Amino acid sequence: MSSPAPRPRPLPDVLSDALPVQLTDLAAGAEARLHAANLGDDDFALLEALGMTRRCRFRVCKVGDPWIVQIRETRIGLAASVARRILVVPDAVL
Amino acid sequence: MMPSVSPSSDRMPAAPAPHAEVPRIALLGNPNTGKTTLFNRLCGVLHKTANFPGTTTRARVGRCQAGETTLEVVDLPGVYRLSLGLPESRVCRAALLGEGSRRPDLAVVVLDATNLARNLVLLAELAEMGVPAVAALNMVDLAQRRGLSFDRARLSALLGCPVIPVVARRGDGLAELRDALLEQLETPASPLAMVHRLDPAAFPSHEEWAERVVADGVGGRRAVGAALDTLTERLDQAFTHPLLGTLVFLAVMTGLFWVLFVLASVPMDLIEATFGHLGEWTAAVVPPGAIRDLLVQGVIGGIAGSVVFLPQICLLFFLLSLLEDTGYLARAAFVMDRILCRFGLPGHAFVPLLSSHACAIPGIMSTPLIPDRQDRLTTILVAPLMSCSARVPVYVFLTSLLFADRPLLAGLAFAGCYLLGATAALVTAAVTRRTILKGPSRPMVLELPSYKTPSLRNALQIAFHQGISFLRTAGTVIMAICLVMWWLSAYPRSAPPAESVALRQQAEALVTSQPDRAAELTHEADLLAARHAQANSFAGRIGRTIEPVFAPLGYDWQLTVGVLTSFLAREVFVSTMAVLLEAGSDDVESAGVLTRIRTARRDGGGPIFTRATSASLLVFFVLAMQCLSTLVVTRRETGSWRWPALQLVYMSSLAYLFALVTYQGLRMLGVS
Repeated sequence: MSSPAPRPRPLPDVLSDALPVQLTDLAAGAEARLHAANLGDDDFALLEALGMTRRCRFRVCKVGDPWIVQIRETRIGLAASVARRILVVPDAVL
Repeated sequence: MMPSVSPSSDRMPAAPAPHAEVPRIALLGNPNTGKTTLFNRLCGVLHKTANFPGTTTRARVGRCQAGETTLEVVDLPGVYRLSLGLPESRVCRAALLGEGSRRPDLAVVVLDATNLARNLVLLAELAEMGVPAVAALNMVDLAQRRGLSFDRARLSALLGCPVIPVVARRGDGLAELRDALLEQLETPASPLAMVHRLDPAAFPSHEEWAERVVADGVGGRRAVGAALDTLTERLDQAFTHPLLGTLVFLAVMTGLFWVLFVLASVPMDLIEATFGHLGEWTAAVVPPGAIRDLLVQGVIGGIAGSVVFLPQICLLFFLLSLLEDTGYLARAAFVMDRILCRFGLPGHAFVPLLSSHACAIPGIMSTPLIPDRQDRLTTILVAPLMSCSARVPVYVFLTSLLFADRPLLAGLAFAGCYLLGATAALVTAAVTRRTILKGPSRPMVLELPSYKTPSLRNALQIAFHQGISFLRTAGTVIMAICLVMWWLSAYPRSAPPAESVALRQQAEALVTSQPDRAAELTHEADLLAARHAQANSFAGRIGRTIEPVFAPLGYDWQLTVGVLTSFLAREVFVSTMAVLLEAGSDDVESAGVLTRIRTARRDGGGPIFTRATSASLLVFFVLAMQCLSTLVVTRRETGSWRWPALQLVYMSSLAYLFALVTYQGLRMLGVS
């Protein structure tokens, strides 16, 4: 138990100028944020509960079926059919 | 605005009443946070398992001692959020609000110290429900190795509840956790204090509040960033690769089931031998009569028939627990999902279905691995279609009759039985998910837990608990059903037929001059008497009565009795036929026995086992639901008799239909 961490860097209001693309368009190693998902309410809520929110940056760890993304310390596997329905904003310009 | 999980989010919890009952603690947490390990550490192996009211979700309820006080601990299902519309979230909400059972006095929220921000959202939701909490900060050792540090006092202040660092795998921090539970039960910190901290003006969402708590209370370079773990990256690449991942999966499963079959066979043989000796001893010391028959054939035979599955159940759960602990199973689920999703099943269903090849009982008991209720029910429904080890003696018996001198064809027929069972299971699953369990499958979105060294202690505890749980069922319902079936097969008593009496008299006359011949004659007399008794028993009479139902499948009354008695357990078929047909033994690998059975005649004079009849029987046994123990376990896992009833009716109808088509089709082709 030791000293608290420095504050995280503030998140910009406008995340990126990039247009949303399908998650499946990203390459391994790319970073992005969730824009929208063509999923049912419960499924979308599950994604958010796993940490994949519009505010959180994630990294693409593996492409293909399954797609694997990492959000903070959480690694999430997504079937390709799910990944195709997720729109993201690449973080390249940040 | 933050979503609310309860209309009572702004009310203070009632002051704790003096506990007339044992204080109840709810254990809550995200999946993969070590919640079950903590439960096992707190409560040990002696706990009860029951379904939540009206659901297929199982709860474990144990007791733990904190000082002089006994606490009841309810292990709730792992959830990411209480506010989700998923069945496990609904179950947790109902349990925490006291719907259908007593409301918990306190909740322990198990937080993964390596992933605190996401886990804290659950604590915030709990505070809004007005349930006082203690936060168990688990896996602090792992977090510290990753460079994280925790300002515990600050975290407690921010969260409005005690924060206790623990390492559940090692049992570290449990004494302090127990003390904190007692303290909170005496003077609970108001959850409202935390709700005030969740000011919507300052934090529009729980996530933002959680991030602030982590920023203020957790130190370390990677506190809010994603660490790059190259080993994990490489393992994930390999384990989820379409080709390599499939090969690894096949290797792991082959290893698992090889170990299961090889190791389980030793205690299974031991159990059978022990009960065999116990039966012989009982028969020797108890005078002949109804009591002896009840004890030997009903009680000891019934218990032996159920307990023999115990080694497979314990070993399977031990191995699965080790495998799950490593983090591999989540990756394997994706590999199998590519195949099983075409049949409406998730990748998780593979393990229960594969386990069902050993025995459907552990297969069905392992279905809680499947997150979605519809998927779980579908898997339970189709699991008994996979060819289990109890079918093997019947397959050997019938394929040997079908292809006596052609071992290659017999082998192909044997393999065909497995293929037919698996195909029927997958097609049934596809149809079920489009009809009675219609609805979209939960999309394959899974958290991939960190790779870890599995906990041997945890695996042993889980195996022990599953074994005890099965024995409780076997000792009650299964036992009762076995006794009823035994009674139907053994009563009413009938005097031995004249031929049997005559043979016995001949044997007595030869007992000194030709002892071997006397033994043979006695054995034949016993067989005749057994056949006569079987034919005149209630089961035999029922067999004769319903013979017309099975006649289109090619079965006479003797085969009908064999099929009926094997509804208790399918392997009984071979021994029943051996008794009915006076084969003298149920050793189907013995040529003499097979010859006697093959040449056995119907009352009308024709052979009992024609090619068409044997093929029809083989198909019937592949598809029929003939295991009462499986039906009882299905009832336990689904919480309703509706599903085992459906299983019995569907599989019996399917078996009848396909056996009918086989028999009539072969006859039309001139095969008889």
